[in-house]
Amino acid sequence: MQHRSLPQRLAAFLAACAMIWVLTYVAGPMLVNASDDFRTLGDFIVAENIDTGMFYYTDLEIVGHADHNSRSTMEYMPHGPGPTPAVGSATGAPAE
Amino acid sequence: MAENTVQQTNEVVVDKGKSSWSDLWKLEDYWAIWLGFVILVIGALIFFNNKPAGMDETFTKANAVMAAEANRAPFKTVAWYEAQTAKEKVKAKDQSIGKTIAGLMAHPKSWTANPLNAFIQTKAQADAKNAKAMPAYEAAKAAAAQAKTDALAAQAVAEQAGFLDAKLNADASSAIESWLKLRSKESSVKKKVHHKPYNLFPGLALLLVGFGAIFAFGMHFIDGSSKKFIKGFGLVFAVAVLAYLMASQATMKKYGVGDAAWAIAIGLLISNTIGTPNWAKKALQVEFFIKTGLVLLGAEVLFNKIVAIGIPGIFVAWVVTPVVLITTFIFGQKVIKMPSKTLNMVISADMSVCGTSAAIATAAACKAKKEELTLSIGLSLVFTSIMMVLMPAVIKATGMPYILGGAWMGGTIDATGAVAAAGAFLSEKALYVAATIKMIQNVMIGVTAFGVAIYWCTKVECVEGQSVSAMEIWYRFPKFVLGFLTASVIFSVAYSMLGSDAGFTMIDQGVLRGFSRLFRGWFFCLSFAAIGLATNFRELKHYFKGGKPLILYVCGQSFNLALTLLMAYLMFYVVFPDITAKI
Repeated sequence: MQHRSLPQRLAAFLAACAMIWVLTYVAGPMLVNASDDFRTLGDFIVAENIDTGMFYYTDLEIVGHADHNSRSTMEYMPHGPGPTPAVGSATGAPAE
Repeated sequence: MAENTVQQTNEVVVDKGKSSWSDLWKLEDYWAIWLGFVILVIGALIFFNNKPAGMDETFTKANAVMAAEANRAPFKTVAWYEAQTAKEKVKAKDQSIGKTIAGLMAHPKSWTANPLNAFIQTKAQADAKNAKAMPAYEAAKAAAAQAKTDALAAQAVAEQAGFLDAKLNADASSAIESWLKLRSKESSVKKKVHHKPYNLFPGLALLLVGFGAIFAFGMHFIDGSSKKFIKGFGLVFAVAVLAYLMASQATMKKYGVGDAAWAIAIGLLISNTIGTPNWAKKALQVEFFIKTGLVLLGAEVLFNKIVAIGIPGIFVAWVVTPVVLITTFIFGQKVIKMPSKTLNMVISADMSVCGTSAAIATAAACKAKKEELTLSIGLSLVFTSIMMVLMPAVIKATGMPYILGGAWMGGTIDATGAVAAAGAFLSEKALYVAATIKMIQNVMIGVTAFGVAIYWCTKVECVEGQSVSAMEIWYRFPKFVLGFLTASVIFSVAYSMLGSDAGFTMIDQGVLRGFSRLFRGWFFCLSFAAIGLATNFRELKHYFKGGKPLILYVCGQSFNLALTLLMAYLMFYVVFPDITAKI
């Protein structure tokens, strides 16, 4: 980079910043809205305020709940009388 | 990772290592251990001296309810879930000291159009947001209350039949599931009526001074360059803050672009346009930041987490993962013929274990170059975004059971945040399975980092046919890994001794999430900012030659997808269907 003049370097910097701005405010929302799947998931992420960029389990509160719930399930697994129901529908999805 | 990279040349391999007592205060590996442990000890002292009031009584009461309910019905009842929630609410970090620490170490918050909102929120703004969200909260609260009434009614009907009628049991279980979903929605909407005013600038100034002082102290002993370090640290910190700011933007959250990617990108932008100023270069201590963060991460590697979901989880996360890791590495060496073994290993670990965190740990363990780490994280980021959108769509379109889908996504999508989003999009149970599988996989980075460090010391960094003595292995071994493993063992043992409830409250939701994780997050972000500021695009291009890293990632991930799906199906639906039914 050092062989370029300061104005050239500043111009390159501003151009790259402009690209990021376009990515954030123009191209990004356009891409999200281009696909139904992406838009639905995107709206869900914003509504639930999920930090999708977090990479370790301790970064997300929800994983702590999942862990605790799973552990409790193993420790206090229901074993009362009668048949264990399959969850919700055939797909295991909850009933709407 | 640049300067200390061991070259695969005869000179380095036959070079006899040496160590002395002064290494303890002159090497950054040891400084990473000392700093990491000081932070962990301070965290432990703070939180173990601030135990939540009534914690033991709450656990005793809730566990009695859960045991009784488990005996009473063949499925989890409303009372079972409420007792579970009562236990989960007891968190050491929710004490006033924990909230103060979290407030001081907060990074920029969510924003959509005005970046200033990430730093400052006035009382009027907070009140306006709360008022706006109130109708939605009231509606969600009413819906959850109605769903609970319905669930209790369905449960009572099943109970009247002595829980012996399969259809009535299924109806009750389904109604409870619907209530859980609405309760979860109520809980997330509730956060939107509890906005409070904030001003992050004083806390950020304190962090700048505090982090600068901590690392400058280490640099003083390592090479006496603390003054030069302090001079440039402001730039690295500013890039890290900007990275957090960009990662908090609404659209970027939809992509799953986190602070790590932004820190590298902003750093690259500066270094490849206006150029990183010479006065800042001494502050680009990539390895020092990363290794200190990794020692702290070690405490979060709690080995008892691997049994969280029983044997199916262990098989999906701890059998498939090493098979995919080793196969992908061998495939990269034998078939694709990757020129760099370190890049091959970092991509393999990144893709098979758990994305960025595994890439960081493996890169440090095998002494990979910073460009190789950057490339691996970039690949992971792109595929995480794609998989986060496509996998739930495929699961829904094919009618795949959500628990199977959750296990599949948890075992294959790299980033935990993306796993949580994709899992939650399907259902609460899918989220719980996906997140738990990912958590079990996360724990594997301890074994992976240790295994890779040993393999590199004994096999890669030596001349073919030459035997390596134990002392030689010790000289070459990255010492920070010892701090990482020690932290992991100490906290795993402490967690076991406390039991799952108190361990969750005091360690998971106290020392770790309330203290060490906050430092670790900042240290990793600083390291990525330093990587970006020290990297030249041209060097990156060289590593991508022939598209081999991309081919390796795609082939490895395809294998991972197939094997994880097969194992999840076998474990959750063939071998242990009883566990699946009761999750």
